[in-house]
Amino acid sequence: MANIQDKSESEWVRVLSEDGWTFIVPRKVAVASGTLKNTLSTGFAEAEAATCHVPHRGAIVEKVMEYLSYKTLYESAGPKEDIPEFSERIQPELALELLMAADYLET
Amino acid sequence: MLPQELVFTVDGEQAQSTATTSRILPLAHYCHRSESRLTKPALAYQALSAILTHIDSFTGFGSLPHHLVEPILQQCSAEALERFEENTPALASLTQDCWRNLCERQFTQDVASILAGDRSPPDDWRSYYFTLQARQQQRFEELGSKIRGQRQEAEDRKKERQIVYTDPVIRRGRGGVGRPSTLIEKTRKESMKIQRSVYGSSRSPFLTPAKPARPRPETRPVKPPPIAGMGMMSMPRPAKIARTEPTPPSGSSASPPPPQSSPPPFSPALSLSPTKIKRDPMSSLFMPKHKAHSQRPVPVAVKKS
Repeated sequence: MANIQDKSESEWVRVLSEDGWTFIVPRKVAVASGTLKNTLSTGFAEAEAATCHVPHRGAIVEKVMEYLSYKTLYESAGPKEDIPEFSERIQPELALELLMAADYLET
Repeated sequence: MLPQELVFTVDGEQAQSTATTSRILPLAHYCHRSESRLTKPALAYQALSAILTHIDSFTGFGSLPHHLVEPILQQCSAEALERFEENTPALASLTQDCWRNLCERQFTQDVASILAGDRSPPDDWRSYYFTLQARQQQRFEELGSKIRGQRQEAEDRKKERQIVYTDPVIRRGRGGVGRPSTLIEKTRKESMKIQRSVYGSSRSPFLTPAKPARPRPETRPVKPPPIAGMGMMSMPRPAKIARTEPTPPSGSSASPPPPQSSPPPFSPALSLSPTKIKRDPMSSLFMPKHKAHSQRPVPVAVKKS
């Protein structure tokens, strides 16, 4: 139990894509996704290893992580702070797969 | 492996909605709100916006689930919808609502009676859309031709009312001829023609060097030839003309005067015998309208003392 608590308190988690890419992100960034939050909070192996598998290719997972970081950064932004648009960072060729990934990860 | 639930937050509280293939969530449901800031679009909404922005670049949706394709199709134009149906025939079952929405948006008046319930809806909204489109095209063409006809008529009426200048009016008055140069040229041409016809083409009493005078029979009448194009001018018929050729001045080199556009003035080199010349034959051929304003030189009679 202490181990699980220790591991759940670790600041970093690993997100693995289907083509072998690994993304190490802060826990608070990963839990911005509903699916990843559920995966990391349960008592499964993924939670113990602080590792999540996402069934999408590396380019898509990278874009999702980028969005989760953006969301975490500007979530607590004040009303006067200028927040850039994330839509400008979405390439049209990734849009369809990104939509599927966003639907899967509940972001 | 797709989730059966789509979780989003509304005003700080979590709400759960079941997303199945039968229930299609509108686009707005992909937005989520946090406690601190309102309306922070979710990644799914942003991806949908990116797809709709570049919808003309897409030919199909690959393995995208139907509940994600429907919001895209709802926002498509007729051309895009046709293209997707062509590439993915399985989409035809999903597009009837989309064609109906297109008809409602673009042909509101034609569809109003169907929506009000006065008429039964068509079996195939797709073919109905193209029928309405063809009708609209025909209406536009009729209107266009009508407007063109009206514009043409207005232009024709405008042209009829315009003042058109044809030939300028030549004024004949005391002040002189409207175009003196033209009249002089005409006169010169006529006189040249008459001279040629009367005296021969190579000879002219004024332009050639003087030769010994040779009296001509007085009974011989001189008839000027009819001048072409000058039907309005009536040439007086000379009765008898006594013609004498000019004698060259003694002691002076015979130099013909330079060619002139107007009848040459009376030069001292071409002195005529005062006793023989009684009447200038040209005077009978050319009668100016207003003798007082005639531009012909008046021969000076030299009297022997």
